[in-house]
Amino acid sequence: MTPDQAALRAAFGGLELRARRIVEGLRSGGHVSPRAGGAVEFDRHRAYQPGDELRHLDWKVFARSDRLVLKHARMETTLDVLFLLDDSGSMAFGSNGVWGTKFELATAVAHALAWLAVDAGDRVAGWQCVDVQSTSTTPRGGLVGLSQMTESCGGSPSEGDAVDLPAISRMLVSAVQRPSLIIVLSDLFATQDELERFFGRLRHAGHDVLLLQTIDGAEQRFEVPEEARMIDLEGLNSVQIQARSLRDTYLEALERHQNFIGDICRRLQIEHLVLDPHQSPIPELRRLLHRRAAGLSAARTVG
Amino acid sequence: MSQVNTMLAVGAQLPLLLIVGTVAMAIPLLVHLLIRRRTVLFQWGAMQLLLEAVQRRGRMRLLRLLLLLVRMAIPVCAAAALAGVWFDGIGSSSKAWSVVLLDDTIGSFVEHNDGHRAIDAHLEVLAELKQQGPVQVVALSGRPLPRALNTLEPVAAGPNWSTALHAAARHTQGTGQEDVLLLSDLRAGVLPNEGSLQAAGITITFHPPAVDEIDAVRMTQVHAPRAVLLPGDPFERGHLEVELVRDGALLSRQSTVFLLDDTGAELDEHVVHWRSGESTRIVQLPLPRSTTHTVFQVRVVPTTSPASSRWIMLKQQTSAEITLISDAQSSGFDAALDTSWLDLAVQSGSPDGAMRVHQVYPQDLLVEALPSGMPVVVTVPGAIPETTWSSMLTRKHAGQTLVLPPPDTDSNWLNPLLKAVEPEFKGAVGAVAKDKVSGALLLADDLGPLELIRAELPTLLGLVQIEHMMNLEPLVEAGIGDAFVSFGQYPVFLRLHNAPVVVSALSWHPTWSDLPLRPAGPVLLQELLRAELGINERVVRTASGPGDLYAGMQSNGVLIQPDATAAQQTPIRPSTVQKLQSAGWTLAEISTTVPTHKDISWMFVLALIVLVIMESVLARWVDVAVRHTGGHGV
Repeated sequence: MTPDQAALRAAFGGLELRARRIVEGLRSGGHVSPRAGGAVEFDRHRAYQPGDELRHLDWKVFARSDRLVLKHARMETTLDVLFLLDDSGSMAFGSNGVWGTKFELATAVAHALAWLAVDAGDRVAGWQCVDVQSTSTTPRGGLVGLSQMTESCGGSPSEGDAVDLPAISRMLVSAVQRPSLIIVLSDLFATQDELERFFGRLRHAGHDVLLLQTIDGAEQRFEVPEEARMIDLEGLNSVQIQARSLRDTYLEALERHQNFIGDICRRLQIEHLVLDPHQSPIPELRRLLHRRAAGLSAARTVG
Repeated sequence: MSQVNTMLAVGAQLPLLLIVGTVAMAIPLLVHLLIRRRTVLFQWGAMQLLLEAVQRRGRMRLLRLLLLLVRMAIPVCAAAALAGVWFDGIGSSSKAWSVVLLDDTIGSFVEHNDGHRAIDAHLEVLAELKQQGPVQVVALSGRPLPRALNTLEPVAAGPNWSTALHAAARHTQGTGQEDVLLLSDLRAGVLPNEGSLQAAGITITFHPPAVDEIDAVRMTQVHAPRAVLLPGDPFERGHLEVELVRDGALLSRQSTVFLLDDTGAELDEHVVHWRSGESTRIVQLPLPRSTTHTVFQVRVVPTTSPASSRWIMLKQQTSAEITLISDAQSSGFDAALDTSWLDLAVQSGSPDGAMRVHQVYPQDLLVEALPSGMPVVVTVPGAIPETTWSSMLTRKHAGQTLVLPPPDTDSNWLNPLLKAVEPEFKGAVGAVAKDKVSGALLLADDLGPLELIRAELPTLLGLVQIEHMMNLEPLVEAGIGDAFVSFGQYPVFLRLHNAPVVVSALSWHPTWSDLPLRPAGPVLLQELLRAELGINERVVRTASGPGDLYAGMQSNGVLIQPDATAAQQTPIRPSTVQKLQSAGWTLAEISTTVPTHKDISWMFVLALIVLVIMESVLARWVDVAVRHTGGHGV
């Protein structure tokens, strides 16, 4: 174990196993990061013009061809990767999935991605949604960033609380001036209007948004007792149901909700991934990160 | 003994049986409680979706239930529509009567010489009708009928046409049937209103029956023709016409008939006595008993009385005089006086036989009560003879009296007339107004035109209040001017006679309660006669018409009260006819049948179309919802 790995282990605490499994799983397919890239990369040559700084001259080309050309480099700045972790009551739901509750899965994924981001030289910061106003986090790189991430996103779901999406978006827009990658980990059980405004505001502020929606398999398949009084994890609501008679209608509502989220993401160009605590997130995350890496390369080529 | 033993044995085992029974009853309950599923408390994350699903499921259930009902209704409607077409040829020719006006007035109960009564014939017809379908029976007297009609007792009053016809109209409303079958001996009316008919341009030859003709009248009155009486518009035609239709063919048309109307009862002109040629006898519809099953449609285009028929009869007991206060328009009373039948009647029942009859016009009384100088508009038909009241009026209200000619058959007569006399009358009223006289008295006797006058005069004359005199009740209620406060207490009456006064044939007004007046409906009148005249056994009954009246006389009885109930009704006026027409009463030839099956079929066809459209829309909604539910993947 390298010192770095030891530090990470210390920093991740209880999350270590799950996060590490994710990180290792992701790395087994090659180097991936939420945002691939180094600090400074060659871009293209262009002819020298009077007034250009001589320090940008490509002397090797001048030596070979006696032509004055400038080496045009593309400076890649450090990226801030911000994690927004939904810790509302509904995230505490789990149905004995191998990855625990929705919140546990989301936390592990967040920390794994943070580790990868720090490893790629980016800075990370994280918030838990319910108490977002009281948390003041500045993106940092390295172990400091990871340590800070553990502090801010290492809690547990807030029992009985719901997420105030408008307040969170207001906070993010005002607190994060620099365009960043915002990774949202939530089950997204909010009204359509709130969701649309929330993501629209983030995108409007120039942030890149990655949405990792965690829905438990029981929620997706409506696996509940045949007769039950369903109690809301986010409030005082309760309702008596007979699962058989309600199943189709519930699944229809869920499908409508998911379709709506899909529409928003397509419209706002947001990457959207659904994670289930019953299944390993690694394959989906790997595909996602490869997709993003390919997207960045393509963008770089076009640029 | 063995029975006793058995009972004892059962008694001893009773507690045991009780326990076993209780346990047996509890078994289903215990099973239910044991197998009942326990409700599990289950914490759930996606509560938002769950609540949405619960709400949506409720809507879907409703939608599906609606769809089910619509789909169930479609074949029913289709069957009904087809059934209507199928049965159209079978049932359309049959006449269905659903509302029957049953004449339960006293005349129908008079026993004929051969022993039968009109009411019996009515009930026979009614029983036959009931075999054809449900029948709603309305009493002509307006009273509620007993369930068993054979227990029906005669009502000591005349027909209450207003109540009965409105009740019948309520029953026909919405059924599409506008005809009402009248089972009557057509004797419900009383004496003809000669003045009314003359004013309407109808020639009347009327000879009151002599006493020795009474038997003949009775003999021919007991019949039970079926008749449909429908009001027309007398004012547009200006004549009275009655057609008898038998089996759909015109049997006869008569234009010289009696309109039996001296009671002022609403629609009482529908009650027709049939005159046979030039005979002076009053005869009924010439229907022998054997023809009672023949449907006769009597189309009556009635005239009306422009003159009021309200009258008051007063009896002064102590002086053995009877004072009639009448508007003089009731030719029945004139006739009665002419033939002295009333004298005869009274004398026959009077202890001393010394009663005399005086006729006093209420106009006299009112004119006497009028303050001098009050402007007066008089609209009275020319049939009124010159009486003391008109001369008094002229004397007391010289310069302020405007006498309008009697109205003709055109109900719009008033406007041009008033406009013609406007300047002159305005001058008179204006002169009075300077003396701060607040009101004008309008002497008139026709409530219909009076409403027009009341509506028009303020426009013409400004703020002058108009009242009319003939309708005593509103006059008292209105109490126009101080002069009528005293009138409301009838000082004139008291001045004329210092004896108790019996007021009959007029609705009782509360303000009269302090007076030495006693209301006298038929029953009370009988009691009074019994008590005061001491002729208990000789007062047979009060009755509703001359036939009954004469019948009573013939039976050694006395009848003084013509028709108290009927007299309380509003006299027939254009407004009444219009009201009835607006309530759906039309001439016989317009519609005499219930809706045919064909009509009903069309209604069901329309309903079917609507239902099919509804089914299509609902099914689409449900289908869309079901297709939405089809994919469950997230």
